[in-house]
Amino acid sequence: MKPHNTIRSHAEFSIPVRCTIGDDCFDRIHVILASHGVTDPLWMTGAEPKQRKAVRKILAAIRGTHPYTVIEIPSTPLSEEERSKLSSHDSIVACGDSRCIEVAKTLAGSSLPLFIVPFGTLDGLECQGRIRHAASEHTVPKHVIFDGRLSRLTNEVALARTICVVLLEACTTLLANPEPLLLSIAMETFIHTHKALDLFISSGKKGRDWRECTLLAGAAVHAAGVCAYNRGPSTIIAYTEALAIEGFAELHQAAAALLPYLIRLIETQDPAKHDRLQSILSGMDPHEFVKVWTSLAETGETERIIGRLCTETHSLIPSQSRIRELQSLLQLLSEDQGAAP
Amino acid sequence: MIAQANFTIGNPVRTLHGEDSIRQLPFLLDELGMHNPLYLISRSASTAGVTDLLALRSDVAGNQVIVSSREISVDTVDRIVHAFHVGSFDGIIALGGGSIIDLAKIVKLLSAYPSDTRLSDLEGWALQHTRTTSPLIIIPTTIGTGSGATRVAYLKRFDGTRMLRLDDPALHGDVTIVDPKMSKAASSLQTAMGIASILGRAFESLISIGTNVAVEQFAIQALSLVITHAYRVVHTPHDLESRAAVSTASQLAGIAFSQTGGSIAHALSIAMANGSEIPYGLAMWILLPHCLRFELQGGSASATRMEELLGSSLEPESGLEGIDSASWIARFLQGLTTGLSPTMPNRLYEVYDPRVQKRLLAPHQLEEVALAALDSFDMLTSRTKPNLRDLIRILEAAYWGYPSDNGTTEKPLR
Repeated sequence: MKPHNTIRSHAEFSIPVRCTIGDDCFDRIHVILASHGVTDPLWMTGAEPKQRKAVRKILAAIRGTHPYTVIEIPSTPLSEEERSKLSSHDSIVACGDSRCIEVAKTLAGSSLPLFIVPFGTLDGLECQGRIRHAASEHTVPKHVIFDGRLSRLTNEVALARTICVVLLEACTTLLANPEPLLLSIAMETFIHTHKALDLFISSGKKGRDWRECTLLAGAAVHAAGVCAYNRGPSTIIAYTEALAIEGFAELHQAAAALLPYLIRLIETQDPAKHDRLQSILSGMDPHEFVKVWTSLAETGETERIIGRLCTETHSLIPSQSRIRELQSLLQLLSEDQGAAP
Repeated sequence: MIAQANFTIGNPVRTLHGEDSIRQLPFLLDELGMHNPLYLISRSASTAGVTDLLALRSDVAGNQVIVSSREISVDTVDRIVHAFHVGSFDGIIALGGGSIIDLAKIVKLLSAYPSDTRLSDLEGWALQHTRTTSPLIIIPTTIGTGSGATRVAYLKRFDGTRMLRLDDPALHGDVTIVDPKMSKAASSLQTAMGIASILGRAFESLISIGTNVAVEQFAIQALSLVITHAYRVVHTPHDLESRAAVSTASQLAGIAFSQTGGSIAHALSIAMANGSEIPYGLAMWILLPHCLRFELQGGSASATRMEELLGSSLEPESGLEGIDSASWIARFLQGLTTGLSPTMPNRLYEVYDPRVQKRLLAPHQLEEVALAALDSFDMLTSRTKPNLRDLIRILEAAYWGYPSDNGTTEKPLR
């Protein structure tokens, strides 16, 4: 296989979010927090009783009798008094699903360092500096922890949906002609999701393999976050997000609809990269690979989504000046639909 | 079954790379609030005129400290930390090879501690004492150091004891600028030794106990770039495309290595660089094939995984098919200098200082080197956990140039 070996000038790369993944790594959270100079965090948990219980159980075990403050994510905006209480802490640790982490990102803003322990239903954006449609470096978490005892609490469909969003980030990164540092991370995303797929198919939900599978999905979420951070804004992502309108489609559905086309684009634009992808997927056709994940995600509605993409292209593209960046993709979509975009 | 998903990954260093990326320096200084930085510059970079590329303003001339990498000691650190405080500098810019970069990292760390802090107090494994330190911009002027990506710094001791090794999150630079033009003054032989260092870091991060999927991808990408560009960068030093690729490979291998730590070749090379005049790159050049042969013997799991990775990621033309990694590295390194310098040593016995007509390492020193390596933190991340006898056997094989007596049946390396 010919590796991708071109160097673009002025590329920049970093891994802004540190990531710890392991069966019981949450037990080391105080060491992790101390390494960031944090001693008095505010703990936030998701609203779901099951999530709350799981987090409190581990926290009680590792904190012993030391006092700590845990709050559930607030459903309404915080009052002044609550905000002042918040500022008495030196950081926020958010443990829960994507909604919990999104609220924590908003609360932490630029003033408090944020640490996240994602589990449950994730949207794949947890390790990015974004809160749906809004991006800011300030909301990039400092450290993400995926603990097997918590990550295993997700269900199969939710996990597959997260992977669809993660693969969207990886594919758009590959299409952006990444420099070698970023290319490594994009490939890492595919390796994690491929290993996760093996375990997904072979595991019973409660088994050891399932726990490992959810941890690998966590690793993929982190890698996708690094991809997004270093790749910068992507017109394809913006296009996909524009489709994710309440009542029409979720982000994972829009991602699942586009994934097969993105793989075809990679194959057309850079056959060597496509070959390497196939090689790291242990010979599995990348097209087949994304198809398996999208079917596991039970997204449905693909034709309706693609139809809308084709008929309402101009209204969905955030900036008309960027339509050229989408031309190849639109061409593929219209070929399938038999209509001009 | 070994869990595939138990690891930590992260590297806060911003890597700015590509031709002319050095032009971003003024913007970075503004961004990091560095209005009065201290420039730590290696003597060789200064002599070669590399500093001209920085387009330094005339008023910063007094902010430069030029250091020869051979002279760096604990005293040098104390002197520079003192100068840093007295000059009210607000950041450090390191311009040089691995020794200068490590020096800058140590000055950065030490400047955040009270003035009576001794370096040996800070030595240890993965210190977690978070300190607010001054910003550091790293500009490598040699290929292969990888130090711009790591949180480890080494300092040579001249008292015969082992190398001082610091490991602290605060040792990370803020930004590393990897501009191929900055390393143009490096000689072909220096570059070739730098390539040995990159290969060493990449291969050892693949077989370390701390390896993971992310590390594997960084290491494989580094190897792929080196294999494609090494010959061109050594034989045509003005080829900036290749230089950019190999400089990036160096950073990739550095990131991989920063996650995993070293193994036998690294630990022995560090011990040798401390206990003799043999540079790290040259030690790695000679030792790496022998160490890999030891680590990958007997069809270990590491060997299988390495073959799997290399087979699926590298080009068929890389010549790796059908031979083991250690033999391939030996051939690859030997091939690099073919026609360049027939005197490039391939065994420690041949490493010789013509000025004083003396070998830089005598056979009786091998045990000292082995002991220093065995006691080093770097050996903790080795998967094979060699004992003293194993290390001496590897060193003897590297000294005389015959395969070590580990049951393998390869032909001699030379």
